[in-house]
Amino acid sequence: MSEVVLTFEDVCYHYQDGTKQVNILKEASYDFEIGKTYAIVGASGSGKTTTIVLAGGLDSPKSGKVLYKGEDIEKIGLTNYRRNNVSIVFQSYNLITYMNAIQNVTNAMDISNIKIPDKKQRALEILQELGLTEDESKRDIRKLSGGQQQRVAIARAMAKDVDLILCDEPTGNLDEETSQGIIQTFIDLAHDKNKCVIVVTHSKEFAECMDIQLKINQGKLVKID
Amino acid sequence: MFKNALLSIKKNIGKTILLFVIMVVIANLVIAGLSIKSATSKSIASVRQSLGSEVTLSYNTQNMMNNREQGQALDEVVSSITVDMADQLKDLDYVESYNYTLSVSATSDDVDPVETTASSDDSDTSTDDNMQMPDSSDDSSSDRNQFMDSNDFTVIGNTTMANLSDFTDENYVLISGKLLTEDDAGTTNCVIESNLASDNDLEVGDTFSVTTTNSDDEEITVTLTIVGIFEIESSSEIGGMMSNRQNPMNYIYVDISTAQTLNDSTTDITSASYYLDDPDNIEAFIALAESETDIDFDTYTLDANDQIYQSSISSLEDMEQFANIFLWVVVGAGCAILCLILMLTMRSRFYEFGVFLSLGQSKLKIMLQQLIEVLVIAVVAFALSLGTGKMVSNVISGMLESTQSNQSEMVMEIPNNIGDGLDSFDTSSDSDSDSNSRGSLFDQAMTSPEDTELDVSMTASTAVQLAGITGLICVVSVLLPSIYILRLSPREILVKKEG
Repeated sequence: MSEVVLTFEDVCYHYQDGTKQVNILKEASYDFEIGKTYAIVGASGSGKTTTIVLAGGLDSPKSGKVLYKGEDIEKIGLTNYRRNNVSIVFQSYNLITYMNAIQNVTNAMDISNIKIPDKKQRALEILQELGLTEDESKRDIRKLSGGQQQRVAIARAMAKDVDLILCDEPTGNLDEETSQGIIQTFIDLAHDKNKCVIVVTHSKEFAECMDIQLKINQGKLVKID
Repeated sequence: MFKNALLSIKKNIGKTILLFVIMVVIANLVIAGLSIKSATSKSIASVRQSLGSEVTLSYNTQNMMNNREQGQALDEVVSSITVDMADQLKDLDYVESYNYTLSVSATSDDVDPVETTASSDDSDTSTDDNMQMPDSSDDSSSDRNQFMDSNDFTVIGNTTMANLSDFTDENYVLISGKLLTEDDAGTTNCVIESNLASDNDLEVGDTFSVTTTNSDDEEITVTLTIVGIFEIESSSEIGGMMSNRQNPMNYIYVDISTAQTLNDSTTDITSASYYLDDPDNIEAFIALAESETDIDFDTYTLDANDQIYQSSISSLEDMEQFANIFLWVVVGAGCAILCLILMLTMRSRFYEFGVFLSLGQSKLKIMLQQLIEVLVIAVVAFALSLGTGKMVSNVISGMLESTQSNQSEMVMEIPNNIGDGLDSFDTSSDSDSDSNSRGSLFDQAMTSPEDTELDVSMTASTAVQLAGITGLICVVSVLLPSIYILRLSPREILVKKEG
């Protein structure tokens, strides 16, 4: 068995809709291992994005624990956890618009205190690895296509060099050809660079490319055989 | 952080320009407020210094006139100030130096007086004229000899001439020799006027005698040695209906002991002046005098002659108060406007905050980046405002000064009316003193708009205060909207942004 990088331990999450409490996750438990890709599928509102949000330390569960390599992320500190242990790729890319691609990537490195001699060169290498030219990497980020922006977001996630990469609908805004390239990138990250990649997706094709598919059933994470 | 802040400033140029313009306006208004505040404070200090810190012990003329019965002679009402009385005040707190004055009318066989136009009519002059006091700013009038018209000279004894207002104000200017000081105590040295000296071929080092007659009709003669000669540059006392002895050209300044000898009394003096360490302490000194001495302040009074100061200072204090309110309004409005603009632009920054938080940036660093952005713009605005602030200050202070001038004109009218009223009481020597005070009030009121002209120049202190206030506005303006956003979890921020 591979090393468990992320554990959901009886995680519960709900929100208030007026006077009504809407339960999203109910005692959800699961171990995510390093070197594998995971797809979380399910209907809208089933709790897919909430799972990513809790796994990424963007919010805290109402009860239960999220463990990173066996340690409660609340104890690590959510900000520290986000800075040093996890990368998140959002459906809407979430890039800083006044920075170009290289600056977005180096900014993530700066925040994570990554000590390498030439961050700019490293950022450019990652971007080129993902198919962006140097010219595109220096262009105003708003002038890049959706696919290119998503690659920049992935490059930013890769630049942090963490073991856990979370993706929320990373191909939702992309055409099929671009999506295929992105999917392959995630697979390579897990298999070649020994990362744990957890992807939330509506796409059946995307999910089928992942090593393990999960669905949220009555608030619990269930593996699809 | 700093790199990101500069990038943000450069890329969001529209917002940067908007913030810059608003900050320039705020900084200019803050400079105007600070400059006016500083200028009014300086003017108040200046007016206070020009007033001086002299308090004079003299008769309470008002009470004296009230107590005088119809037909009663003035010498029955007036009682002398004594050296013992004056000595009680000289050692009180706040007193830096003092001067006792005693004026005596005298004749001389050795020198002829400088004749005044009205001297031939001396015998016909009314009591009013005889009550004219020599150097009324320094003495009042207990001297009985002044009623004797045959005397051609006024011998004025002083502890020191160093603080006599006619000399300090340069109405009288020493042209030869020296003025009398404490070092001349006990001597018969004297200082005379240049016309008296030239008419009698006198110069420094010469001697002459003066004579007075005591109450027993015995003559007292003292030989004086000239140590100084002064020239009259200006005097309100020259001209008009005067006897020789009232003509300042016939004033002979001597040491107080010599005047006492001529007056045949070592106890009486005409007035006592006390020079305090600070004009602010005048009221405290008067209060101390009333509580610590046995002087009857129904009969005597301590006069600070500060009416013009009080009237001038009130308009300056009004202006200072206005500057304070103006400053607080500018700071408040500046904070509110900047907060509003930053709040409005924060909507677009929700997204940025969320991204930074998701990347693991701390909330403190996010706020610091915002603060750096605003401060960088503020520093440029601040630098520009140091140049333009002077112009704004001048415009605003000009408006305020014109208001102040109007107030000063009103101040000028008040003593005029008071003077008219006092004319009817012009039968006492103190009314003459009031008359001179009135002249002083006129003069100062006439010149007060110039004297109190605001110096709104930028000082290092103003610049430092501006930097502090601008910094404070920036911090408050950034913190309020930032705290509003950063109290949310990253998820909530990102959800809001997506919404």
